[in-house]
Amino acid sequence: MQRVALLEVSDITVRFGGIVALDDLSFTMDEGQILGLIGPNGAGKTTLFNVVSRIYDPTQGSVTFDGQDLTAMSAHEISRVGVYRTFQNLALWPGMTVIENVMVGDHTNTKSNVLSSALRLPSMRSEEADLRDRAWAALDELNLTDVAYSPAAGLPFGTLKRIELARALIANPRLIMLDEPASGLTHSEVDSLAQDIKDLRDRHNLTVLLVEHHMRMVLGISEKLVVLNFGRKIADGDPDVVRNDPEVIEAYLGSS
Amino acid sequence: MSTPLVVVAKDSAEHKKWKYAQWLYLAGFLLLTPLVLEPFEIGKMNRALVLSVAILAVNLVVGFNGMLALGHSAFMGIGAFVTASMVQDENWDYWQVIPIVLIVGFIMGVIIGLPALRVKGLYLALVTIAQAAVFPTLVNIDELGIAARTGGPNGKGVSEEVIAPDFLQWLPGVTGARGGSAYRYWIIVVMIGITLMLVTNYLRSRPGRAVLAIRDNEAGAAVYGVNLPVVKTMNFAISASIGSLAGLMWCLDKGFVAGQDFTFLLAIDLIIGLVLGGVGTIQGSIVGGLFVVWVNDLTKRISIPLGLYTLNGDGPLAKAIFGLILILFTFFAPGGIVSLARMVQAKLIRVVPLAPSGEPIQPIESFDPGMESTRADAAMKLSIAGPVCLAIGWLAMNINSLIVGVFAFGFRMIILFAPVAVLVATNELKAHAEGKRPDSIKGPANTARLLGLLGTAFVIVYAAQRFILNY
Repeated sequence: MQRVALLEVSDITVRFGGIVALDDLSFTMDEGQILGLIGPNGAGKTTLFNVVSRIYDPTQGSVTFDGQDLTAMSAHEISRVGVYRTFQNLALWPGMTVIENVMVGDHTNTKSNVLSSALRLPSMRSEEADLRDRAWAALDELNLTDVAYSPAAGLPFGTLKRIELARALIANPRLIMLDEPASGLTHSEVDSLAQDIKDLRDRHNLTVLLVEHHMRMVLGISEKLVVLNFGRKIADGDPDVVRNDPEVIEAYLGSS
Repeated sequence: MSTPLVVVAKDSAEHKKWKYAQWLYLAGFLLLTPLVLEPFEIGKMNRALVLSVAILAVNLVVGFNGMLALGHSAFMGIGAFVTASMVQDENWDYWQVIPIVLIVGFIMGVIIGLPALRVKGLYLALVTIAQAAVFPTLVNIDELGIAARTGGPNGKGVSEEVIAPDFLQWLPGVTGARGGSAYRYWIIVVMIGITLMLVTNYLRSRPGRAVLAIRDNEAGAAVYGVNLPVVKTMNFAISASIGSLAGLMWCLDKGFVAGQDFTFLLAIDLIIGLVLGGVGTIQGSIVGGLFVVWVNDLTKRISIPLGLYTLNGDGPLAKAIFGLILILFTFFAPGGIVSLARMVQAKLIRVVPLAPSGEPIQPIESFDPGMESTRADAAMKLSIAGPVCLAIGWLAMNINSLIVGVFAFGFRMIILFAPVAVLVATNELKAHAEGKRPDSIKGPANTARLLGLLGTAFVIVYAAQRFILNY
């Protein structure tokens, strides 16, 4: 049986004025895969994330997830098919506590509306209690329960990154896109993060699209690599093959 | 972070005691107001409370959703004119008009919000300033029967008087000279109570968290499934609805509405109250309303004892002093009065939240050691603060009856510390009996409890005395 690609990026081009951020990019991802997307600064990695999560409109091309065309959806609809992401520079909500941040993570799959909330109807109260328990469990999984009721501001950067991860996990995502999860972390934190990502993938049946500069980590956990340079794909495939590709070495790993 | 006076686990018996003490204090404050204040001061209080509701409406949009909308005076006006017209022209009761006003406000919110919320920041501010600026002229339009309904430039009076029915005559103050205004005070208090409860529930659940998420990071909110335009418009419409309710309360309180009441000056007052109270806090809205009215009042009177008068009877320095207070607040309490209150609260009490297992997320005992004497000392200071403030308030009343309202208000805020002192001291004595405190705390704690009880008794006697004097 041939595996059908879960995420299919076809011929995506993004232009900002005269600048081509992504140039005819295509690749596919299988379910359950950890795919490392690498490339020098400005190669278009985050631009791709923003296209998939519908913050940017592509100039041409399409993104298909499990047979559905994501480019036809608006930003808030992407979570309905199970696509979630974290942000390179964090997109937490500092005015709320950590656990509330994680609770908003499952906004898509919860139902309470203005009326049921204002009147605290039984349906809303049971959903809220359940949501709080699941948020606690997600925090517990990432060892964050100590800060559950602290404001999501003023905590160490590494902690905030993990809170973002917990916020994405609570919604039972199918595809999770991690934008430089290791930036700002110490060496030992990076190693444990790599292990965490693998464990979470296995436990939650995730498919992980990983953008990361930290080469040791990317090469350590990725099952497939896509290498970008100036918006173009220069290599695609098994990490051990790709890392020895002369063009990749030239562009990114340094030609020494 | 310094260790607070007490650390309690959420929902523990001790925590409940503190919560009940808070509610008791609030109840006492509400009950005393119509007893202690003069009739014209109750009227001012009513106006302050009405403004509080309008500020709450502004806060929903500006403080909780991060949208700079400044035109809520228009929503108040809509609510006020709908009420005046329905009560005067159609002979409806006020309570029957409430759903109409809420629905009209909501629809106006959707109509204005849908296009306006497509722009942000200063652009939204500009659009909503236009809304506030144009409203007072709209009520004068002589087409479609609008001027007939609104009374046009003459304004619209409501001849039906709001007085307490027989079965509510037991409420404090509603009989005698202050009857009307004190009864309206109670109606407004009940309406605010219900509004606050509903708004708090709304903000502390799924739709409210979505509103806050938009304020804190729009891109993040969208990625997590928050439909930005729908949530923003819904929140704006709810806010407009509450603004209109404030208009209804305005009409109920004054019995007269005119276009000149709902100009951009009112919108500015709402913004001042919002900032001084505390942007993005529910309590801040209420405090902000009280502050705008009472401090404005105080500044008007402050230079009169110096022999300085203007033709309209206000002190000539009023605006300057008010402006100075605003500047001082911007520098020293940018988070508003609520942020100051929270600083004090953080010194008094820390509530440790519970994990789903029911255990506090941090051990309570670890906060305990080494604080024995400090706590008893603090309790004693608190217990002294109560009676001292009471005495100052009493003195002030006899020196200049014009500022009675302000001081009566102030000392009642501070007298809270007397019952608090009793609570703390009793706790300490109990801990001492269990062998958890050294003998050295026994003396101060006993004194603190005695003084605290005296302070509390003082308030009761004072209230009783006023009650007898007035009736």
